[in-house]
Amino acid sequence: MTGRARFRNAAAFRTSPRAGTCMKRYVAYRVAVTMPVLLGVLVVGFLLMQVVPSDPAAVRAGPQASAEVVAALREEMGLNRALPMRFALYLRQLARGDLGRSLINDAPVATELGRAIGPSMELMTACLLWSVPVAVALGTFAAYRRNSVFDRAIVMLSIGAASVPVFFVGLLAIWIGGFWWQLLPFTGRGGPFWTRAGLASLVLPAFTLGFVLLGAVVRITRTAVLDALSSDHVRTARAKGLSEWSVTLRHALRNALIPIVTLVGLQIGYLIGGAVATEIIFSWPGMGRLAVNAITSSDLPMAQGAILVIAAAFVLTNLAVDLLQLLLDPRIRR
Amino acid sequence: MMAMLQDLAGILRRSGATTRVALAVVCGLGIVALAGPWVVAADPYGIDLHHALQGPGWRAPLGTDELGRGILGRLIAGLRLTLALGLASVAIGGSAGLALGLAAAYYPRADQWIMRVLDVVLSFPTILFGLAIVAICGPGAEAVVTSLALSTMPLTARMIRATAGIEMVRDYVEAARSLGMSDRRLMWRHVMPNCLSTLIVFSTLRFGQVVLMGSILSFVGLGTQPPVAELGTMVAEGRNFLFYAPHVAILPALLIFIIVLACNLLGDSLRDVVDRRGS
Repeated sequence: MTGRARFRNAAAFRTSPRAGTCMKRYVAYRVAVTMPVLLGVLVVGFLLMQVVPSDPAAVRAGPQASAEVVAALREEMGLNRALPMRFALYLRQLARGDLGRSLINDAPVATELGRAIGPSMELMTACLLWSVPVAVALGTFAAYRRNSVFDRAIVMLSIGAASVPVFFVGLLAIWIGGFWWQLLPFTGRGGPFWTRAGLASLVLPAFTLGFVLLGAVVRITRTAVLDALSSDHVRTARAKGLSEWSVTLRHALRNALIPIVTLVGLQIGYLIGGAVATEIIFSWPGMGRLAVNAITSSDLPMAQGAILVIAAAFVLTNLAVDLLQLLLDPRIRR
Repeated sequence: MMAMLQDLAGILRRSGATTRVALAVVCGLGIVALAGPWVVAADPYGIDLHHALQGPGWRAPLGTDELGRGILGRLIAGLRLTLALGLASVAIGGSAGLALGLAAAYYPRADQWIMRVLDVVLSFPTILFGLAIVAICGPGAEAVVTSLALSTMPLTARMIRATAGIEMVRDYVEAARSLGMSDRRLMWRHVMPNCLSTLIVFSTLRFGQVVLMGSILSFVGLGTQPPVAELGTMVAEGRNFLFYAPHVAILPALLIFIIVLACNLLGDSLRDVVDRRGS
């Protein structure tokens, strides 16, 4: 079966009457498709270390090391073996959770990454928790009062939000919220989000990052709700004498959720980009800041580990969003 | 091409005030960037430590930065570079996408391979390309352009493949083929020119996005390095003086916002052209 035919079948699963078994097959297919991509991520992560001009052994040994020491270190690090062999070694190390050691402070990369992943997830979750509901509410309201002043204002706001660089919002937030009003802390993380200091330090970064999503989600919500409002089942609901508000919320918005979830999934790439900038502005101890710091200080093992984790997280999130979409679509849920 | 220009003229005639303002802003910024040093004779790299971090005044119309360099001069130089980086990324990614899209539309056997590989490229965010490329080659304008071009390429290829697919079944292609025209000539002389209008409109739409993402890459330190005047880099530098001299960081950030906003507003009106032709 060619790739195209398979994709067509995947689409056919959605509308097939035997949806129950087909859904399982689609899930299996979707998970199977993710595997080669993950393998590709691993290969790229591995090659990243190979194509770099500097000799990792020489860097590790330090500038004063003699040639013999470097040669011994090369042997110890397995750098003299053939490329596929080194890839196998690399995979074995990965399986053990060993990502090497930082060239800067000799700390294990896996530990550092583990420390950074929590704050990053905290930041992204907090951002999603405020921006998606606000954007969906604004978009629904704009569709409900279409062509009114509110509608036009909300559309303008969404174009503005989609055009504003995330660091501009961040700097304004620091300047106004942190410096001028002195309301909230703006450097570093005060602790986990369940502590008072932690929550306070989370507010400004999460607010800033939310702008990355806001514009696009408002627009898609407005369009999707408007589409749904002109469909047959909504006309029926209106004919039953339901109020326009109830029709919009209970009948139109519910159908609009599927494209909204799709869009949020597509935006996750931008969200990661925004998160890197946000973490740097607010000195947030997350994955993006770790990656950029490692790269700008030529700490390759750390950089490679961070890139690997970000890429894998991205691929898996995409998978999760696709599966969530299945759950939301009642035509398949049966 | 002519039909395209007529479409554009029609859009402008019917467009509201917003589109016209956006177009004026884009043209104005383009002229300032092109004319550059001839507009304001300010040296973006002239250091004058006696007048560092000053507010707007006679000596420097928009104030000075931490090394006493005039912000206005740096903004113009930065605008030039930022727009040039954006143009280069869109041009490189667009041409590569055009070639791949045409090849995919023309050779059904290559189609699957090209599109699946592009799907994989498309499935990674720009920031990851940026991080990976900088990890290998080091930071710089080249790294930014490469990662932006890489993420533009698959989108363009998809667009071109769809457009070329429509053109391929037209009568003139059949006629040219029955006259014995070679594949390469047919594609180059007949199909490609008919895809150009889509490419141009799509690239305009993409330009705002590319400038926005490029500025983020520069801001986090993956792009051009100080002292080069580039808008994202300037914001990153000015960030350290936010509380004493906010204009040093805010002005370049505001300029990026204006560029992207104008491009997006303009793109919204242009999108109608693509959509109408696509359907």
